[in-house]
Amino acid sequence: MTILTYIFLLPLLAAIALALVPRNFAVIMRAVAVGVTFVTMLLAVLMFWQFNGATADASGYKFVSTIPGLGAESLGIACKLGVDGLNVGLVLMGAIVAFAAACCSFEIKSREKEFYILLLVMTGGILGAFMSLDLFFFYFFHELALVPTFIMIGVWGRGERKNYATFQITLYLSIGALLALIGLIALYLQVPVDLRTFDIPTLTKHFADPANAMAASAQNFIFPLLLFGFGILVSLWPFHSWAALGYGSAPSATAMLHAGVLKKFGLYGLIRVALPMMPEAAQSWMQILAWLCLGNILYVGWVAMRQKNLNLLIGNSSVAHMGMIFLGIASLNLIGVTGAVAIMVAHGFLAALFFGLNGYIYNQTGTLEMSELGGLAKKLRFIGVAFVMAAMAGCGLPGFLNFVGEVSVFFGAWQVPALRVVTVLAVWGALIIGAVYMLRAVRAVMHAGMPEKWADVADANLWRKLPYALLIASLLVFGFFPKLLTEKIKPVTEQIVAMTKAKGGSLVALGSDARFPLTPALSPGERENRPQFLGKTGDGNRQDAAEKNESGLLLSPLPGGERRGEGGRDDTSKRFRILSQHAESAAAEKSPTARSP
Amino acid sequence: MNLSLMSLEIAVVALGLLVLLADLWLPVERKRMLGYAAAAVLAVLFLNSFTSHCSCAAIGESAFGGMFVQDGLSVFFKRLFLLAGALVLMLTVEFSDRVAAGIAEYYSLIIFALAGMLFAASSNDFAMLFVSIELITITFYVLTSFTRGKVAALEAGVKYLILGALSSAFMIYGIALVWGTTGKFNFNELAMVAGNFAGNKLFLFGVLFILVGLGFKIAAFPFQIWTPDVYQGAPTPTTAFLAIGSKAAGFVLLVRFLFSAIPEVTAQWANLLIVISAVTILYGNLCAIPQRNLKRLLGYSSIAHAGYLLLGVAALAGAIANGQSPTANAGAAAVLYYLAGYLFTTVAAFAVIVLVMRHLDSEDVSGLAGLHQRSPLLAATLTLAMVSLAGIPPLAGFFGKFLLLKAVIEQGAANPGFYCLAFTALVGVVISFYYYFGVIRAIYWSKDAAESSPIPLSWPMKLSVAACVTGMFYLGLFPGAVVNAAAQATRVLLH
Repeated sequence: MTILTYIFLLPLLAAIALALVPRNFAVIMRAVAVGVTFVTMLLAVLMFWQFNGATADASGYKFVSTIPGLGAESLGIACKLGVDGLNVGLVLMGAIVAFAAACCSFEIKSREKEFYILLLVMTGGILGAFMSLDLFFFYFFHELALVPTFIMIGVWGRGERKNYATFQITLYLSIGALLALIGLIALYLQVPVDLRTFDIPTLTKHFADPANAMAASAQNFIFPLLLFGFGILVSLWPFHSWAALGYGSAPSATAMLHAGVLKKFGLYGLIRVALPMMPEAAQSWMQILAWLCLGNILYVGWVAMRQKNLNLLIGNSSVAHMGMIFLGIASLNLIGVTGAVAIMVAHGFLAALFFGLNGYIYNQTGTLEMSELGGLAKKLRFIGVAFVMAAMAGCGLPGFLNFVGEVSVFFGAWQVPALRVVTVLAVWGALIIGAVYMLRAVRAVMHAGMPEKWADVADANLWRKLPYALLIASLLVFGFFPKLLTEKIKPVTEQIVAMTKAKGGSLVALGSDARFPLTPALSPGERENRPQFLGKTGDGNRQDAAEKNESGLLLSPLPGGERRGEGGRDDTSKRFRILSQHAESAAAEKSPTARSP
Repeated sequence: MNLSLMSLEIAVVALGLLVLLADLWLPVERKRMLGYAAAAVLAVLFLNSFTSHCSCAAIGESAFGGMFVQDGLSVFFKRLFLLAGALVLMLTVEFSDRVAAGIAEYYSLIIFALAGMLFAASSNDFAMLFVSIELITITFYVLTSFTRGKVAALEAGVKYLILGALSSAFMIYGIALVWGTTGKFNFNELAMVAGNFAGNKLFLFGVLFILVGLGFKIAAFPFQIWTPDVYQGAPTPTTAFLAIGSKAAGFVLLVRFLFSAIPEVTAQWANLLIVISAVTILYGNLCAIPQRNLKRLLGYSSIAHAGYLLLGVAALAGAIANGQSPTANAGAAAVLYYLAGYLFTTVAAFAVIVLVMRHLDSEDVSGLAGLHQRSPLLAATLTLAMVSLAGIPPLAGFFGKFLLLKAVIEQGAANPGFYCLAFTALVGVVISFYYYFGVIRAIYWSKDAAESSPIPLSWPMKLSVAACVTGMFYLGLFPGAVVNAAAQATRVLLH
């Protein structure tokens, strides 16, 4: 039992407790939901605070605990929870957003009992999915959180196309989840019978050993399943069409939790599972992913520009932001992936903020059609300011966490020569298109002339301001002190990037040796330097990233041809040894030359 | 002769006769309560099956010259049937106000069908197989049209009779062919010679005809044609017992026949099983989409579930064809697990139908409107049942589908057909979300409720609903014990 156990179990136990309360005590339901998510949030903050001091287990995870009884031992399924730098920020973000979502649920006026039970189940599922160190429960908790989403949209959703949206999001996301499930099962079956387990650290260690590396054919079968399965869940272009309408029809709390937190599950799964376990396939698919992410940034950005409904605009912009995260993952280097994780956290706060504000405006005016709104900032002073700040964060203004993430992603992606065209287009899309639709929304909703009928809208009282203030504060705190987050993320992304790159030698086997034709061949001296540069890479802030960018293509993959020889392999294993701070890699052990300094 | 090995079956048959006799002396208003007594006896027998007093403890023994075996597989299924029988009897008591006369006979027929299922679990011989199947089927002919005042019930009975008789004829013909070519009746003896006949067309036709008969019981494509009409027309407790008991009996016979009697032929026919499974899944799910009658919808969904269960059978056939590994029985173990989950889920769904559709002529989905206000407990139960049937965590259905998919994907490396099968199953699951969520939608967000009176619940009904919900959650969250039991039970299928 560690603090994680409580963070995870508290919402679920509260949901069971609420099921026993008679339905006419709606106030109690609301108080319990807000109270429990508040305590969960405090625990998550405490956990984040203690993270650096906590002792890690052999695989680098902290606060590891197992919930006894859950799962099936004979199949290697156990409910093991733990955090490392990759998910500690996501857990914190999830807990904060859950509290904000519970606060923003005042708009629910019917069947409060069912709503708050589902909200708490969703919260527990989300937090469980991000904490789970077991592949089975990782999927299990995600699905557990997904079903309440569907029901909440169907029952408490808004708009005429609610029913259509419910079924669309249900079927779409189920396809994605099931594709990923097949991929995960196939991954599990790659391990010999007597070693089979769903334990993520064990599996990672197993596949990191070159002796057990997965066959190229298996990787080429499983990786696309995970990429597109998770991709559908994250609204990767062209599988994004469920998102805008789904969020547009959802009650605010559901949209906040799903767009903000649950959607990150797919990205987290890609980084945690797909990249380190299937390095060769990851490298050969990243180019394709990079071009698909342009679909998100440019195409969906354009779509967002044309929206007339505020919620659809924000829904589309949230899809567009996913493109940036995919670009960071596709860069497959330390800065890029770290930036991607930072955007995952930042976008969680931002999406929750936006959908919460939309919910407030909808509640006051009864519409989100931008042609009917206007000048609301005159009446809604606090909400107006919060909305403008959210829009600015969405454009990537410095001072918000989004900026830290986006700029790291762009630096990371620029370092991969093959991705330069993509990067240029993405920067253009993110800065110009993003700014256009965000500012257009601000102008149409907050400024311009105010129609007479909105004369009596009221600004949020102190209590209603709380969730928005909390979310903005989180964005600003991490925006001004990104080290709080990036220092934690970095060691893990370092390790994951190293694992993904370590087996780059077999890129040749996959027939992609001409993948990075623009990379200049490094001289032996430069090659010696490379690991050291990597060792102190990315103290987390942008300046560092900028410096490194100037100092050359340090993190870019070697050309495939270089790796064919014995020398190339040494280089690879050496790099890997220095990079992996937690687990001594079998790759390094196997290569005697790599041991000598 | 080893009569003590059959003490459980004898006890159940005696219970059936006792109910018939008690009917003669009990006053009319007490007859209803007979069902509770019978259910209690079955529950005691179920609990007793875990102790060493029961014949279920004598694993590995056989009686009547090997016709009747007691092994892990038969014990697992006997427990399943006893539990199903007890739950269905509770349902029947609730349903009894809709039976014009002879409720005690209805109880005793259910108990006799249960006895047939218990025999089926142990049958290791064609004679035993046929007798137990006929015992089940003939009692079901009566059970199906028991509310003979209703045309739909009569229609269901006639359809079930004609098609059932046809499939029995096929089966007996098949048995004759197999016996004619091999001269063996006993599965163990047949297994020793079956390999020699794998190329004998007459023998293979015999096997095929037997599969027709068993395919009828489990409602696999293309022998599923009776299912929707019978499910819709039959009295609801009969439908529930048909869905779980009769299907499970079909599966235990199928598994035993395919893997203990003719493993070589089965291994050759892995691709046939893949195709049947895939088509059954797609047919059941696609046809369920437009259904408005809840029982008919569950009929089509039960076809789809037969397809899912066949995934496990096909996976085991593939495993035998590819050479066995220590986890070769994963497919069959998944079938057993899935049936256990299906038991609780189906009974829960039909219990809600019995209670909610009491005053309605037809079981239209729209009759569920406003259920969340009339009875939150039943609304939640039906929602959970639908979610479990759809295969979503944290309920039993998810873990069952997970095990089945795992078993199928495991065989994919050797036979790519299994990958196709896994994707077909995936498509089927996604389709099924549509109509299962349609039911949930009818409960929670349909507008006009025809009725808004609260639904009274008797405490035995509350108990059985609670048992079903607990079962669904237990199997979904703590699958370890039952997974182990299922793996243990299916070990007999590997020689």
